[in-house]
Amino acid sequence: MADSSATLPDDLIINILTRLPAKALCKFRCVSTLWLDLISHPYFIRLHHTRFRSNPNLLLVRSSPHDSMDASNENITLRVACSQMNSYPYHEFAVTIKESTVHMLPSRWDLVFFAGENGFYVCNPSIQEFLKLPHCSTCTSGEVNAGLGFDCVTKEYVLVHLFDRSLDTYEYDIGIELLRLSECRIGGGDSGGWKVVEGKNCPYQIRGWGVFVGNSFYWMIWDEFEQPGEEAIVRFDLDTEEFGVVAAPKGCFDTEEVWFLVELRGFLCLVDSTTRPLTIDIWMMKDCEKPGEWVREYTIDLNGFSNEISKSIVPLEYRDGEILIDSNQQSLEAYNVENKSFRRMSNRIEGNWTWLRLYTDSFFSLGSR
Amino acid sequence: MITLRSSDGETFDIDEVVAVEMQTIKHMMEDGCAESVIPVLNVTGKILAKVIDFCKKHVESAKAEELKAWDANFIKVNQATLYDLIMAANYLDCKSLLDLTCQTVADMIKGKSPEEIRGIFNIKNDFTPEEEEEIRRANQWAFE
Repeated sequence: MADSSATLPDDLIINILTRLPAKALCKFRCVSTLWLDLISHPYFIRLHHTRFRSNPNLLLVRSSPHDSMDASNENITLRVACSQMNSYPYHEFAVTIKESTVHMLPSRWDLVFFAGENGFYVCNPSIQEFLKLPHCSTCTSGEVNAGLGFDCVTKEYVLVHLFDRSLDTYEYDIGIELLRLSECRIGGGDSGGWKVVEGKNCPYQIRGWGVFVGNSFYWMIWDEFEQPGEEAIVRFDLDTEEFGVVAAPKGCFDTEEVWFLVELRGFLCLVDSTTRPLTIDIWMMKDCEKPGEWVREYTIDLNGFSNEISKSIVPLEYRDGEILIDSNQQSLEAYNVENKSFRRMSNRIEGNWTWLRLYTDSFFSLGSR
Repeated sequence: MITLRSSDGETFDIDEVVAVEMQTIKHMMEDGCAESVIPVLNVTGKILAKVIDFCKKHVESAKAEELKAWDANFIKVNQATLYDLIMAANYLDCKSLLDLTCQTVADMIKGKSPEEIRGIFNIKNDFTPEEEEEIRRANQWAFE
């Protein structure tokens, strides 16, 4: 480098550059024609993805009404901050969408998804790409019920939308539609949009986000007229395209309707923060063939924390013997399952953020970059 | 004990367990070259000494935290030495040293401009001004 006749061989340049986040690489595309070729090469992109998959980054999103003085405001601004672990935000950007409320789906891969009354949105924060997805079916109840999964085999995202099509306030008729996304392609096959699963109805009203495990989606059932009991979870199998129900762990009751589902280590997990005080039990359904058989896999002791904290602890991912946890968007903690101890993983998070996510830096583009 | 000789004639005696941290040396030993001195043609004595230091430390020490701190100090070298270390780690096939040096360079260049990158890597800009402008415009967001 200091010697004017010395240049690094290509394979070493690739070794160095695949360690850079996508944003830096987009900047360096104009360094030379060789660098442009190297950075665009499929081998490079695969190696880049492999490196970054093992090092999750932190994503913080704040949702705010565009103009908080305007009571009839119809716009929301999403501010997105991306940082590597233990680092200050590497880049930030903002987008404004025509919605009055917006939700962010749980995720931990390279794309993130938002849902509002006017539809769904997808974003790759690494390359600051933000798109509105094709029009989905209208939900007469005005709610947004959806689920997101990533199929590691086909390398596709699967987005599922449950929508009430009943015009009667006291009845529900919940249909289901799917959208698949892969690099530069939205929707499967020939169509560019959602595929309604014909003739299928979700038998229950649900709450919370759908979790994708073993080619099925699972939701917590919400039914104001029934006592919690046998039918606690509804399942939609993508292979058979059938709905079914799965029983909750025995002897536990979701009296406050705060249980939620999450995927850890490839298994469906149920997070129960109510059955035992100051304790979070994570139940795991280890065998998809035996639905309803749960193992209490992890117990997190919150002794020393206030009772409020237990409601805002969200396990995000299991990694190397630790459960990564979002603590009320104020910090990212790693709970060591063997030592039963917490380790702070991020710097103290400043600012009032609405959502905290893990994400993988990548070039996964939906075509606009 | 294994003896290595650098490109400029310096010799180094090292334990076998340290020598095998360098895959290239390990293969030469397996091929039966271990009896005499092993020539390391592409690496000067100054750099080979540092590589050997690195390998010794990584063989001796098992504690991740301690190694990390030692590595951070080890890699505080000037650009020319860093370049030589990358080339040596590559030639000698010492993966942990190659990871350390490449990561250090990556961290160093992350925030730099394309002009600075060309200076550091001694790269000629072979785009026409129009081509370069086009690429910059398409990636404008990355410059902010």
